[in-house]
Amino acid sequence: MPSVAPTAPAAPPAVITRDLSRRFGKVSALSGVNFALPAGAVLGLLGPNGSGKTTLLSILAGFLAPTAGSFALLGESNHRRALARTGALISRPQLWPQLSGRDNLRCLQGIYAGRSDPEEVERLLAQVGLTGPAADRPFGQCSTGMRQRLGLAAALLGNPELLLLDEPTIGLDPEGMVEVRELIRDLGRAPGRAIIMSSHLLNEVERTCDHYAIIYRGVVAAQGEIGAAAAEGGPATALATTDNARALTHLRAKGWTVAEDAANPDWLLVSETEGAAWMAARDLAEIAIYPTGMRPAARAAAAGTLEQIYLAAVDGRETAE
Amino acid sequence: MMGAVFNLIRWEWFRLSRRAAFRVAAALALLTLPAALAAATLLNAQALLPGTELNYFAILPYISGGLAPLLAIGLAALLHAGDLSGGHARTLAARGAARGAILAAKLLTAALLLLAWHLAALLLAALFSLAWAAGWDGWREGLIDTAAALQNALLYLALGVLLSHWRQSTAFTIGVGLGLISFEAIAYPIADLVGETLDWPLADFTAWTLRGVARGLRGEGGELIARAWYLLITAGYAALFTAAAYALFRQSDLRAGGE
Repeated sequence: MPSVAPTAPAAPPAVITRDLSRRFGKVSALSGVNFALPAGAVLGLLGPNGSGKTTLLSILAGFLAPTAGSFALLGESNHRRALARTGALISRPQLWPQLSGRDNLRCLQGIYAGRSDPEEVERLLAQVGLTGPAADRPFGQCSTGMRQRLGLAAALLGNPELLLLDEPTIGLDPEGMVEVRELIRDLGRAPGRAIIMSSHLLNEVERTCDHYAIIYRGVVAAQGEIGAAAAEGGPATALATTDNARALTHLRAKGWTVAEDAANPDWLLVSETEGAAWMAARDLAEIAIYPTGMRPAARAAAAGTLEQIYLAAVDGRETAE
Repeated sequence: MMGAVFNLIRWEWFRLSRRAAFRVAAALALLTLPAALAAATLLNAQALLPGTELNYFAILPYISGGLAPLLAIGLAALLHAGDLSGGHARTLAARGAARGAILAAKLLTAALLLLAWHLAALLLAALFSLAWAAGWDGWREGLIDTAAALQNALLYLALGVLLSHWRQSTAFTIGVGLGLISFEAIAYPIADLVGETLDWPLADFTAWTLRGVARGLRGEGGELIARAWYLLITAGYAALFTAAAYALFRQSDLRAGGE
């Protein structure tokens, strides 16, 4: 009898929602939100003010109850168990003003995990750029940027598999925004970790995330892969390799904007805006993957940058209404 | 569940002990005890004939009965309403902690602090008795009175918890809680006076109110068996308030601070 190699079961989606709705009195904040976030993906949640981004994240974090619909995190049917593996920074960080940043993290570590691990606290403080006297300043006396960094550190306690971040760079100076963006990008590279990050800033999402969802007036107006969005409409080169699946992961980790070609799965689409495809091929040589073909990609007729997709989705919804 | 509650209590105390407002309030509450006992000693020395001794254990219910409900409302506002209005309840519940465990931990933290305060009162009464009275007369009654005063304080704590979860506002909890205590302090003696003047038993109608059961607990005009009955009624009220607070907490949205 031939032996069959065991195959790893497919990871469940990090987040899946079905017709998720929420009303505040007569106001409908969410009206049937449906989306799925693959495990390990970094999703940028875009939308204008009041579109429902914070409401959606608050429901996922367990702070608000949905009026209708359902959702699951990390494939868990028990929402509380899933939340134990989820870090959240929604709206402003809500830490205790009388405690220092360090004591807030110690306290939350004790509450969340029932243990004391000073090394983790120090590592997280360093990771968000709060070391020295800044970490000992009472939270109530911290600047908005410092509070945001501490909120992020609190969300990272226990190395959660899912992160829900509501405008994590708000209140930060430009340098801090770059640091936090890089931190989120690094966090997203951890195997299996998924992140949802809401933002008003299209370029921030483009630089940090590999998936997007545009939420407008309480519904998901568009969603997809950011690499595909950029490559479909913008100048792109199609690249075939000896191992497309590994090549895709490696190139993304290297910061390339790259996606599978939906029309032809044998090809990857590398956005030319990031550089020539042969440079990507050189990066692939590091892991012994080699190009087997390269050609200019057919460009989609529709405009495909995230900005154009965003405007099209918002205009489309307005026209439909 | 119990492990989670004890863990939460530990960190409730960690946060509370670092609040300047709590330290000041705790110091004042503790200082009030020897101050009241010392004042009673001085007044007694002036008012009574030489050789007459003061029963410090008999004074205890007047101190704890008056101050403990205020402390209970203050603790409920600080622990429950403060965390709800400041958005910290979100932080506590962020990793899936059961809301029942969060409420229980806060309630038990406040209850333990009230117990400590009552025990401190009892201990001080014993020390004053040793120093300025000839013996331990009345310690049994003092113990029962202290237990009744603690039970009464827990009733007001449960009320404070309900007020906190109802409106999620520190100002509302303190305002309504202290307003109610003040109203009781003024209205009941007036009702008693009117009742006596008109020979109409108003006290019978107010026996089931919070103040009424508190009086019953203190044994005003009642036997020990009646006090045990009032103990059950008070426990029932406290359980009802706590259950209502839990129902509100379970259904409510956890708001961000400053809303």
